[in-house]
Order: sequence, then structure tokens, then C-alpha cells
Amino acid sequence: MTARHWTAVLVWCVLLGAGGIVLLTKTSFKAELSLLLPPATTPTQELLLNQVRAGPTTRLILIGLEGRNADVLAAASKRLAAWMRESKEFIYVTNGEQAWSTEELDLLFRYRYLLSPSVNEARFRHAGLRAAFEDRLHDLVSPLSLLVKERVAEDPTGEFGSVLEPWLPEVRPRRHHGVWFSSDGRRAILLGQTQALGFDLNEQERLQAELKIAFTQILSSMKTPHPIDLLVSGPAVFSVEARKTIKQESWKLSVVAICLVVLFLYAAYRSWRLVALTIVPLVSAMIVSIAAVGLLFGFIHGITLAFGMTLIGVAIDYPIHLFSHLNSGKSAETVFERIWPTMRLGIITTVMGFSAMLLTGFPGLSQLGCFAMIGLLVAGSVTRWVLPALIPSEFQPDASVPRLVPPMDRMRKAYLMPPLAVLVATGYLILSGESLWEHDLANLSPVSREKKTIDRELRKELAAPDVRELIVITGQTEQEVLQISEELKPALDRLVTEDVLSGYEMAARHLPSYRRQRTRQAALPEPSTLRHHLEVALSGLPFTQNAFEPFVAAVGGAKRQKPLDSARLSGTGVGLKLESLLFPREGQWVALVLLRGVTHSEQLVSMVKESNHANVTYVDLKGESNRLVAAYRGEALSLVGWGALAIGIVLLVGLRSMTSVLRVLLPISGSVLVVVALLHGVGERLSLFHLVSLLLVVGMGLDYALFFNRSTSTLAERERTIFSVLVCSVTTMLVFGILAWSEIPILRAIGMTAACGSLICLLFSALHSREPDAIRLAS
Amino acid sequence: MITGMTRFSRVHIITIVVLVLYGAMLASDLAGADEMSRNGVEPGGNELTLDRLTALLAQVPERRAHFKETYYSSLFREPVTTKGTLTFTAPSRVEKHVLAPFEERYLVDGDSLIVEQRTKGTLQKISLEEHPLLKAFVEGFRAVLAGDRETLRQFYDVRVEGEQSRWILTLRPVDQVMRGQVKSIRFTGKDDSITSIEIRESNGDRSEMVITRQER
Repeated sequence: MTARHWTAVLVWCVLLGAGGIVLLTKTSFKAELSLLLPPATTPTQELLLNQVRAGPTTRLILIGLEGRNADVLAAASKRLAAWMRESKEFIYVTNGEQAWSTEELDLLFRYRYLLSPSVNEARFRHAGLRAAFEDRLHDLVSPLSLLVKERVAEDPTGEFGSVLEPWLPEVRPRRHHGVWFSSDGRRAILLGQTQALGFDLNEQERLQAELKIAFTQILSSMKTPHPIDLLVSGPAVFSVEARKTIKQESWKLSVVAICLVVLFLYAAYRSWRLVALTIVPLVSAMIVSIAAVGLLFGFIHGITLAFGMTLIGVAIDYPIHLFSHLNSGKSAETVFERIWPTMRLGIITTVMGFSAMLLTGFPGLSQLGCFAMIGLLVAGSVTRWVLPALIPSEFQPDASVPRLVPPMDRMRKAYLMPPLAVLVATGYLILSGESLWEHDLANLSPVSREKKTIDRELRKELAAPDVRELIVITGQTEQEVLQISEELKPALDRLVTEDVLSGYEMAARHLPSYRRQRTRQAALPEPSTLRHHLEVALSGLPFTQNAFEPFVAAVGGAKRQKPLDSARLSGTGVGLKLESLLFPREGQWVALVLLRGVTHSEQLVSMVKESNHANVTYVDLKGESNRLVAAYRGEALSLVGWGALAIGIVLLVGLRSMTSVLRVLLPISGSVLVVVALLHGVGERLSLFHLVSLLLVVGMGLDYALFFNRSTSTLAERERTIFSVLVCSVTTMLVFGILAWSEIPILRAIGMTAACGSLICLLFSALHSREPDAIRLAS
Repeated sequence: MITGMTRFSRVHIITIVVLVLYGAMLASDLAGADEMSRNGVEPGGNELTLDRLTALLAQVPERRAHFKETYYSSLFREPVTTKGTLTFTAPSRVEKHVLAPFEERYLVDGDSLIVEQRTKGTLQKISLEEHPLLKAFVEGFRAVLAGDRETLRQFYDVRVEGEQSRWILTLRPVDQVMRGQVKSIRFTGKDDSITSIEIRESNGDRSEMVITRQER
């Protein structure tokens, strides 16, 4: 090894070491999907961002305990709920048990005259009071006295009942032994809202695992012979499941793919050492890229990692080119004298193509672009300067290259095939009535249908709000948004009776605005007036004279009470439940109206418009998410233009001949078109994942085309070139072909696109490569 | 043992002892059969057990009685009296129809309590599952009227005193929350009918229902 080699290896080790340290200590891996969202440009998008990040409905976990014995299920439900409440991981847990603590009930009781929607002047005049006292008398001499007696002296008009009413769910599940059950009695059902954000997948995964463990412990400690199944559902559950499925599947498939590739490479090179060296540039690229992205962006996202690995897959081609050209007596350095210009051009054009991704405002795309660019540069450099140092100079590869030139020349006679194929593909794409793009993200979800059914059932039984639609109200103060909510209430109630939606939830139903509370306070009579009305109302009734003094005192106190607001409630259970519906954000206040069972969203949209408030917005999360993805896609497509331009310029500079540039660019563009047509033909609707894979195809295509078009001095050399491209292509097809068999839509998308792309690029570049020099062939 | 007796005599004695014991068993069996044929009713003067009482009560599938109920409460300046009819249909339907001084109907059937105010024309349905206190209270009545021992024991500590011609059945709630409101419910009766029901509440209030006329 020469001094140069030593320097190269040293630099490489240092770089790897530094990269490794940064990776292990400083790089933070994030899995929160909302980090990929572009910065908001409109207030709606801002709200959407916020909702996706922290929305209450995305944090709901729906639980069903399924079994045969209802008593056992009820007991399990109580114990699980107790564990959930104690774990402090949940903002609230409801399973039908009395969820209120005595303190909370006392608080609501103390403020009943401000909170009760049935407080008005008439209620406290003699006619209203008389009616109330008669009712209470009947209650007290009936079985209901048990329910009534405790608070009747303080609250004869029954305001407490009116206060508690909105807190009860509108659709009350069946109860058995004090806990909720599904209507067929097979499942005990519970609902919890997690502290962790809905899209913080790591936290959610941890929480769900803990829940399962706790349940198993509860079950074993109950020592019941009856088995109970734990069903867990909700958006966070789905996301965690999807990620797990994808991880497991990718892992499984990657192992198979790697085995196949290793075997194939061994078959090609007959040397384990070479096979091992093939991955050195790739691994170096990975380490340095991850560390670099982590340093530049502050974190690296899981999706960047996954896609980035795919894109750097082209890096495996570089050592293959080197090894395929190694033969009798020639050292790696000599080989590089011949092939390095081509390889270098390939690396630079691909990197320039990816650089277009840096221009976007989308964090996902820019991180990915950065990752891929750094990765390829590192892989190329390692192949050029480090690998030669690792191959001993006297190394003799055993394999002889198969005779590939005659078949290739024969194939080149079919040079009309690519243009024809492109024509057919274009025609097909234009004439096809089907949409090219996948518009509904839900179709990309790998969650099974069975799980989606369970979610639907649990959601219906628990009357949990939908995740999709909501109304967002913003304002300068808490009171402003509460008042606007109150103004919307009659319209919403009307829509509920018209079946446009089945129900809604808003903070204003539980916490009235100051204005409303003061109106109620004003309606309350002064103690002296009230006593007078009382006397009249009580005449003829068997109550003692002072039976309702506590009532008079309470009303007098209520007249002087300070109105309730969220600050007064914070820290209490009541306050916690309201926090997700009413909260401050960046100097403003936000009130949410959660909707349930929306059937005609257009009517809701028009209601919102008619309400004439600029800061009331109807948000359809699903629609917005799909729109967002479409935006990403649009952005990615617009970059194609820039990318192509960048590639074209670099090629022109590198090849110095327009014909050569065309020979390289045309097969690649053609193969992309044909691949798209093929995918469309088998029923795949294109998504972002296909687009990213097409970028990989372009990278590979550049590599193949450049190598097929380089000038070769001998027949043997030409054979080795063809061999190297063939090995590259086969390894790519092996790896991505395995992915294409996956059940998971995302993996299948990537696999099919890359595998087909590799094959077609190979064929098209081969068929249109430059004609070998007749003179050179002869010699 | 008895020495000096021949083996033969010993056998004789053993046989006689066995026969006597057997005879006694037989006699009591016959007496028992006699009892059974009279539906487990003991001749007067013997202790009444819960099992026997509930078995007795369970024999009556339908009851209809007129009552007068008086309520004593710290809220009232004088006791309040209501009159009406009480109907029971086995196994789980109880109806209390108040006729004076106002008209109201309370019907317990299965899982809910329906309150119907005739004067106002309102109907209210309350789910007993959602009000455990009420449920325990209602079950106390229903179980006694139906002779349902298991349900009674589920909600109450039960004590039976007296004899069949004049018995007292006292229920004390098991649940702590209910004990905070209801101290005891006391039924008195004769044979298989109930003559009075007294409810004592923890705060000192009480109510007394007297059955004025019994129809079958």
C-alpha cells in the first residue's frame, strides 16, 4: 500500500469514527409524523398542524374487554380503569364508573347556579318555586327520596342535575355492575385520553405495551377460568401497529434479500473477500449520512432513514464496477484510471439530481435530499480511495467474465423496441381513464380490515368523537371563543335534530362564558326577596319553615360568586377534561367543537360560513391530510424539472457531446415512462413512495447508461463493462424484487418500482448504447 | 364392654341399639315428610329461619294490597301520609300506585324504575344500573316479596325473628355508601303476607307503611 492509500484509510477511519460517535451520542431519532409536515402557510394549515400534533381525538384509546362472563368482565374493567388512572399517563379514563371525585362534585355543586342552563328569573318566583317544591315533596315520599334527600335542602330546584347532564355522554352505553358494556353484552368498554401526543409513536408504543402488561397481570391475579381478550383501538394504536408491521416486514425481507445478494455476488466473483468489501462503501455512507443529517437538522426522522437507505442503494453499484473490472495483473488503481471518469460523472449527476430536493420547504424532502447526497458522495469516495487500499495488489480474482458481447450485440438489433414501448406507454397513460395518483392515504395503511371493524364498533358503542371533522374557533381571549361557541350552539343543535350529525362536544357546554354566568347571577333574587317568594310558595305544603334556609344562603352566595373560568378549574379533573377543548396557543385562545357522526359535511360548512365569524373554521382532517400529501407530491414533481435540468447540464459538461447526453437521458426518461405505465397497468396507484423509488431508478439508470456508453479499448474490457452493469442490475432486482412481494402497500410500491425500473433501464440503455468502434473490436 | 355375656347376647344388644337408632331416624324422617307435606311449616312455637320464610313468601306469585304510608322527616313539620295500592307480580314486577293526596305510579320492572305523574302527565324512566343505591333499595323490596334469598343476601345482612304467625325480617345494607343513607328496613308479617314495612334512615328520618287490606 502506498502512502496515499494509508492517508485515505486514515481519513476514512477518522470520519467513520467521528460519525459513529455523533450517531450514538448526539443524533436524535424522531418518529413523530407531524414533523414531516411543511410549515403552515394559511391559518387553516396552522390549525391542522396543531390538531395533528396535539388534537384530543388523536389521543383517544378505545378499549374492549371481550369474554363470556359479564361479572368477570366488569371486575376486570374496574381494575384496568384503576390502573390507568393511577398510571398518570391518561388525562382521563371513563368506563361508566363514577369518574368524579368528591372534590370535583363539590366544585360543580358550589357553582351550580352559574353553571346550570335552567337558571332564570321565573324559576325563583313563587310559581316556579311552588312547582319545584311540589315535585320535591313527591320525590321525598317516593322511592326516589334516596336520590334526592342529600341535597334537597340546598338545591330544591334541582340545578345540580342540570349541571351534570352535559357531562353524561349523549349516548349512554349499557351498564352492568356499574361499568359500560357493548349493547350485545359481550364486551366491557373503556375510553381513555393519553397525555402523550397522538403522533408521538414512540411514546404511544411504550404506553400501549405497558397497558398490555398491566392487563395480563390483572388477569392472572384475578385467577378466573374465563378467558378475556383485550382489544385496543384508536388512531395512535393504528399508527404504532402500522409502523411495527412495516418494520417487521422490512426486516424479514431485508434479511432474505441480503442473503440472496451475497450468494449472487459470490457466484459472480468467487471471492468472499470481495463480497465483504462490497458493503464497505454502503455502510460508511450510512454512518456518515445519518450523523451529518443529525447535525445539520438537529434530528433525523425515521422516514428519512427508511427512504434514504433506499436511495443510497445505488451505492452498491460502485464497488461492483470496480470488482468487475479487476482482472489479470491490473491493480485497482489501474482499473480506476479507466473507469473513474465514468463513475465520477455518474455520481455527480445523481447527486445533482437529488440536490433539487434541497430547494423545497418540505422538511421531509430536504432531509432526504441531504441524506442521499452525502451518502452517495461518501460511497463514491470510499470506493475510489479506500477500497483499493483494502484489496491486496497481487489479488487475482478467479472468475472469468462470461461472453456477453455477442448476445448484447444481437439484442441491439431490436433498437426500435424502446421507442415503441415508450409510445405504447404514453398512449396508455393518456387514454387510461383511471386516476394516476393515490388520493386517499387510508389505502396505504397496512392495518388489517378486522382491526378497522373493531375500531368502528368500539367507537360507536363509546360514542367517541370522530377523528375526521371538527370546528376550530380562535380568538383573542378565552371569553371571546366561549361566546362564539355559545352562538354556534343553537345552529348545531338544529343540525343534530336534522340528522346532519349525531352529536358534538364543546367546552361551552360545560363552562359558560362570563357573560352568560353574569346573566344567570342577575336572574337570582336577593335573599330577602327569595325568602318572601319561599314563604308564599311553601304555604300549604308540609315543609318546616326553615327547611330551605340552606337554599337561600346558597343563592345569596351565588350572587356574589366570581364567575368560573378555565384558570379557576385548572388542576381539577373538570379542568383537565376541558383543557383539550379550550386552550391558549401562541397568544390566542382556541376552542374546539368535536363532531360525531357527520353525514352531510356541506351543511356544516355552510353553517360555519353563515355564522359570519372570520375565525371559525371547519376542518376536515382527512381531507386536509390528503391535500397535504398531494402538495408534497406536487412539490416533488415540480422539482423534477429542476433535477432534469441539473442532470442535463452536468452530463453535457462531462460528456462534451450532445449525442452522448441524449443516449444517456433518453433511455432513462423512456424507462421511467414505461415503469409508470406498467405500475398503472397492474392497478397500482402512484403515491409519494413510488416517486421516491423513481428517483432511485433515475440514479441507477444514469449509472448503467454512462457505463454502457463509455469508450472501451478492447473487447475484453467491453465484456467486463457489460458484466458489471449486469451484476448491478441483478443485485438491485433481487433486493427490490423481494420487497415487491410484500403485503404492505408501501413496501410493495417501492419494490415494484425499483425492480421494474432496474430491468427496464438496463434493457433500454443497452439497446441504445453507443455503437462500439469497429476498429477497436477488430483488434 | 359387658363381660361375661355370651357372644350371642352381645349381638342382640347391638342389634337392638341399631334398630332403635334406625327407628328414631325413620320416625324423624316421617315427621319430616309430614313437614314437607305441610310445606315446611313447623307446628307453632318453633323458630323461623330465613330459608323457611323466603320459601313461604315465594309461594305467592301475585300480591295486591292497600297501604297507608307515613313519612317522618326533619324537613316536614308534620308527618306526611300517602295512601294507595301495592302490587307484586313474580318474579320482578313491583308497582306502587299512590292515590292520595296526589296520584303517582312507581313501577319497577326488570332494570328500570318508571315514575308516572298522573297529575302532570309526565313519565320518567330511571335506569337502576346507573343508580346503585336505588337499585339496592328496590331489590330489597322485590326480593322479600318474591322470596328471593340470594338477592337479599347480596345486598343486605338479614335477620329473622319471631315465628311463622308473627315474624319480623330486618334488613341492614351491606354497602357502605347505602349504609350512610339507610339504616334498616324492617318487614313484619303473618304467614305468607306482609303486614308492615318500616324504613329507618341514617339521618333520623323514617317511614312506616301499614298494609290496610290484602287482596289476593
